[in-house]
Amino acid sequence: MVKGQGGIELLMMGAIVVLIIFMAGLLPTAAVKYNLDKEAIFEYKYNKVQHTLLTLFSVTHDEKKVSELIAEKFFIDKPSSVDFLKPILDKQIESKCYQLNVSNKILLSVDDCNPSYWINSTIVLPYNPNKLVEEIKVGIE
Amino acid sequence: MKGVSTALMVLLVAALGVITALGMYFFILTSNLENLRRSILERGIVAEINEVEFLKQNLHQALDYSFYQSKYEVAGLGGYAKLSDAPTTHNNLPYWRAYGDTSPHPSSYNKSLSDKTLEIYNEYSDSIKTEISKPEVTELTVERTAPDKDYASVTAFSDKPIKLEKPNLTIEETGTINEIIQTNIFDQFDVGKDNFVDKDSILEKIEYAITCCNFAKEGSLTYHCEPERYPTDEEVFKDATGKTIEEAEDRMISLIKEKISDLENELNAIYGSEFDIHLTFTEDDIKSKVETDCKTSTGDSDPCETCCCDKLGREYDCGTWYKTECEFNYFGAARVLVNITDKTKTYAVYDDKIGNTDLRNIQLKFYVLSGTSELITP
Repeated sequence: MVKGQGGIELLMMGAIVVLIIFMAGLLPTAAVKYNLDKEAIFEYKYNKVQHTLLTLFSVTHDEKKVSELIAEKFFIDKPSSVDFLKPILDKQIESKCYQLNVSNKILLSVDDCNPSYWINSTIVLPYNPNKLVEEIKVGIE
Repeated sequence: MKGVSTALMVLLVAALGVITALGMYFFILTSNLENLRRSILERGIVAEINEVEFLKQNLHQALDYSFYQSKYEVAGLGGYAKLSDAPTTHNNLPYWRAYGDTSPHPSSYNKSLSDKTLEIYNEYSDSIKTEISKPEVTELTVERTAPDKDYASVTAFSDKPIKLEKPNLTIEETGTINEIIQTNIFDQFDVGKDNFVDKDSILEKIEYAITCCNFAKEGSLTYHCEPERYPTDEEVFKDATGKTIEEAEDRMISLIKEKISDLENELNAIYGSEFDIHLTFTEDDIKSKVETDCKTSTGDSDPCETCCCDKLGREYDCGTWYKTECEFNYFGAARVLVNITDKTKTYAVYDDKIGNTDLRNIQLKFYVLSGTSELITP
């Protein structure tokens, strides 16, 4: 063996070991970070949608609770519009893609968007002995 | 030898550097993970709090809807929660007055509203499925917030709280729920009571209609020559008024109808900004009667001056006359369906006769039976 050649090989081996150690540390943490980011984003969006839904349940429009207007729109299907909700949702959700459904009926949606995060809750309907509650869903991109 | 030891030194330093860097990396990552974990846990708590909020909002909304439906049903039954509670009814509606008797008026209609609201609210409560422990309402009150205010305070009392229990998390809130709801229902009942219970507006109109006819109160008719009998009541009446009794009764009926229609216009002029008032009746609901109280007398005509001959010139025995003297009394009675509709607002309510839920006005309906004589049986 040439003197000095062993040193270089040792150095290279060291570098490979360091790289392996580095990668072994980095890859799992990167994977963890990716999942955490995903989880955090989901949590953030979930909370945002939940908060939006709560806001919708709390506010009034023309002296009527918005939840009442939504239920009437769904249940009675009067021409009374729920378009006034759009600015509220625009502001609350901060997204250009969202959808508001009661049961499977779309009450409000943005064209060409397919929401991926959904939250559902229960909305109370105007009295009818056959059906008193229904599922309300808000989805965002 | 020196080269190897230098390389080992470099390797050692590099390894130490990497270990230190990784240590720092893991330390920072662990700290961040811990923060994130806490944050997610906190958000989880917020989400649970929100779930409780959703339930509360739904219970409040259910209380609103229960009150709307209760108003619709109770007003539609004249203030009773069930028709069987009403002492006297006609066409599935209660009377508020049967002549002088105003006891059928539901003075405790608030209780009917409370009972019905409670019944419906419990239906809603049973329908809301949640893992949160719901209140159990056994008492519910509906009260006007102040005598001149158009607001109802609707309170559903529950000793059992709204409670969510999770590991490391317990949320507990009072199960008693109160809603202040704008409503005209109290005014609606007041309008009915003021005009048809405290005051008998229908009777006033019937009396006015009878006065308006201006028919003779008394009359007398004597037959001197022909025929040899007493004049009948009908004949005396026709002689005095120019009408048959039947014609007079028909005239009274049409005047009573006219005056009730006037009453409807007068009430709408007073309350028209909030309510639409309709007074309706069928042909059988208006009756009139002319009563005659007659006395007959007879005597000798002496001398007979004018009545001795009939058209053919035959002579009669003019020695006897036949006289009937009458007093006439006029009576009227009416059964009126009163419908006081709140036209200011519509509510999404269910109608069991139609079988659907729609936006409808609240209509207070009841019968009033009134008159100067009990010509109609309640």
